[in-house]
Amino acid sequence: MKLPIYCPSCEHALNVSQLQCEVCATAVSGNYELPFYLKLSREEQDFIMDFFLASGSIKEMSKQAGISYPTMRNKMDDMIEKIKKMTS
Amino acid sequence: MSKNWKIVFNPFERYPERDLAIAGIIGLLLSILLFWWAKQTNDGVYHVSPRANVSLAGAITEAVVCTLLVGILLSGLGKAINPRTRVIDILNATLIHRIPLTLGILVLQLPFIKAAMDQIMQAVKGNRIETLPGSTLWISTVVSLLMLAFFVYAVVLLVNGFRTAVHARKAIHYVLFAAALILAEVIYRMLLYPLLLTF
Repeated sequence: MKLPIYCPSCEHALNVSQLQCEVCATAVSGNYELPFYLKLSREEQDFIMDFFLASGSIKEMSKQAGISYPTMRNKMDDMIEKIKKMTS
Repeated sequence: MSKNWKIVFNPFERYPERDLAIAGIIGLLLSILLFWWAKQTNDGVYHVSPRANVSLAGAITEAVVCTLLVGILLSGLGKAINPRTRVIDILNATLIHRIPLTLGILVLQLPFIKAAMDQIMQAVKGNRIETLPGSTLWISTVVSLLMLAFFVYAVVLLVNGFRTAVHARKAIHYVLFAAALILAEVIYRMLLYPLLLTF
């Protein structure tokens, strides 16, 4: 199941309000911010994971994705820009 | 736009640099042979004229100088916009974009088109354009439109190749791109082509 990260009604970033133990059903309630990685879209999370699994080689990633090196590097640049904006 | 059409207009997004370089170099070699065989000269980066005494060495020099000039200017601009731009990506775009232009020259060598063009040239020289048959005018109109389509396709390829290589996104990047092409044309026509003629 896909974790929603934005509010479906006002599109603001969602926080975690409850966590539950799968075994004993103990629940912890609060207002926790999502970890940074989970604030990214599913495609962006996959991109970061692929980059990690390719040992940080954009060339290798582009080969696996069947696209050219500059296209993959441009995707990377767009993501870096987005993450910089999110963290600033 | 479907994936196939995207590849036609922007092969640089998908194909690795090695494949593009091979296609571009083959295209360049074929264009050299075509210019030499058809006795055509690049008197501008984007202008071709007939020249009776074109040598193979001359055709090679013109093709290489045209490609390198555009490649060097666009690489310099690309590096200024985005320091991570690779020269190979710009050179590939420069090489590949000349393929439609070469196809245009090839089409002009078809006997019935050549005959129609010769007929028009003779009529212009003799100041008797009104005597040209309708079929000749139709051929020249269709050929002109075809050449325009080849030229537009070549520019689209170069723009897309540049955009992919540089990650150009701002309007100013495209203005500078156009300025670089105009500068290439001026440098080639004013400085390089007269020099090449002396060889």
